[in-house]
Amino acid sequence: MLQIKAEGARVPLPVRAPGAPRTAPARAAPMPDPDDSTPRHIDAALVERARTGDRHAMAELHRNYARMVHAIVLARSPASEAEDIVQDVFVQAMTRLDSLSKPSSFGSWIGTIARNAVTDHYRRRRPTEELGDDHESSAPSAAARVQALEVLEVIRGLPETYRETLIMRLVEGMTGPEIAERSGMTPGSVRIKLHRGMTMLREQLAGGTHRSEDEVTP
Amino acid sequence: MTHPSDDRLPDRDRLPDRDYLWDREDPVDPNVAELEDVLAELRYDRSAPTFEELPKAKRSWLYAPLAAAAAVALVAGAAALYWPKPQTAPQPEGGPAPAATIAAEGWNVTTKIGVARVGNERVREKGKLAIGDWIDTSSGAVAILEVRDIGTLDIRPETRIRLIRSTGIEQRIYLDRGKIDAYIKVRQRGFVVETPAGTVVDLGCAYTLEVLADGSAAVSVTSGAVAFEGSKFTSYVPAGARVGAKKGRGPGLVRQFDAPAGVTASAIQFDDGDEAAVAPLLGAARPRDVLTLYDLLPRVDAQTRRRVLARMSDLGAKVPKGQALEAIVRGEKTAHEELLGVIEPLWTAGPDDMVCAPNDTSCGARAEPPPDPSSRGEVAPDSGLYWQ
Repeated sequence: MLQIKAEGARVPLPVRAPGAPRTAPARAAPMPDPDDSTPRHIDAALVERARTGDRHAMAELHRNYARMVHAIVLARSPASEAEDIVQDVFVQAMTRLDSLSKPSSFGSWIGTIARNAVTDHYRRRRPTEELGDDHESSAPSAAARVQALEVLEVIRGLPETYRETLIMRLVEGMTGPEIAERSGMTPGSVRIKLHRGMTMLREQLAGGTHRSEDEVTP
Repeated sequence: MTHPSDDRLPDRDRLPDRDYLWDREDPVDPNVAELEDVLAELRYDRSAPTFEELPKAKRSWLYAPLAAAAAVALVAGAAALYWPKPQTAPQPEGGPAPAATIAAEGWNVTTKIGVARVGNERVREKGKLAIGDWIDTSSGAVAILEVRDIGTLDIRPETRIRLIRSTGIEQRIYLDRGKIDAYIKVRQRGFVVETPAGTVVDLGCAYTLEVLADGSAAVSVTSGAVAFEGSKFTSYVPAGARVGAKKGRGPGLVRQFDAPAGVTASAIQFDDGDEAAVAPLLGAARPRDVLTLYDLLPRVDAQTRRRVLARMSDLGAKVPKGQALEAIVRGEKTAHEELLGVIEPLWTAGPDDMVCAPNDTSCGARAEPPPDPSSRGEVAPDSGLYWQ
């Protein structure tokens, strides 16, 4: 069970017991083969179809990019509000497709919309509104959600450079190649962010002291 | 699965050939796998929205409401399109006359604080605003008006509004004075606010609109965008920008909330009729202020347009060349509107934001996410009127 101290948000790393088998965890959803990830030219074709009013094309773009957009939003806003903001992002994108000069840049374009959407969301928040409390939940899976939110808070405490990429990888289950393909970043940049971010996350989860990967990996 | 080349990476970032963190392939890193399991609780699993009202291709943002009106008019067998012109000179006694309506049941009104009246009748808690009715809020009063099912208006103190039209495709009010905060979710059902200084056409957004006693108006957009239509010019005002308008003159130059003082002062000077303000405006503009320069283009002569376009290019805008450039210089509306999409990456980007070009292989390594909203230092959207 994860535990968080009152200050410092240090969460013990969920380490598998020594000797436990190293098997792949059950995946929440089937992961696309990176080699099958949608090439940019296909996305460009989807954008062109969406511009003609093709709802199925827009739904396909949603399927391809929703997790990336969700990760960007989740890096900046409460989880309880993230899904609604994601929907808003796609509605905004839908209404502004004509302003996208390079359809092949859809990924980086909608990423920018997502970041701005979070900004907008905070701008228009009424002064009397309180921040959503992600930790309050009466759902049966409340304990699991609380645990997930605790780890998410630690990720949010990392430098901004690493947050989005780590959330895409660890929350959304995207692979490195897929993150690069969708976001427009170079694969090398994604690898750096994943590697350095994961190192820092391990340090934070282990209690904030520096430890090498070998020390925290059973 | 092979990795991309690590040749350019420092030693500390070189990864083993098989790396679960990178490609999720065996051998599994148990720490990463456990984190995945824990965090999967937060994974996005919603299906796509229905996108029922996806706009058709290449529809100009200025004419989206027109196209919607046209569609209904055709279905109804109307002989001609109907799109009322902005009422820049409303009737002094009662504003524009209410139009025929499909839905005449009125809009719900809720008084939150103080006294709100529909006509002469006080709204105790909840009430209805019918077509042609006026609603007035007293000093210190706040009321909420439901714009059918497409959004809400927060009506601030000492505000006077009349409901002009409410149909399946258009909701139209007249803001005589005071201040409203509009939150509109559905762009395709046309929410329009007439003011003495021009007409604000909602393009699916949230904004604050204020009208002063002299008929001047100012709009600050916090989400989406609006078009502020005057008798001569129409300004496109996206999220993060504001514009002021004066009675008989229409909207001035659009400005970012965080526009530098030099841009603000020069823009106001220009709006007051001083064309000598163009030079300092161009000099003070940052890349984000190409939005202001874009708005300047239709307001100046061809020679000055070339200067403005050259400055936009200096600021990083991919201004078209050749015939497309000449079309903008000639003042062709379509060419001007297309320029808005071209410059969008500049005016939508935050101060430290950057979007990688698809073929820029070095971009990803230096790209950083924008700072948190709370650290951007942005001015509150309604912290000051345009002319202040």
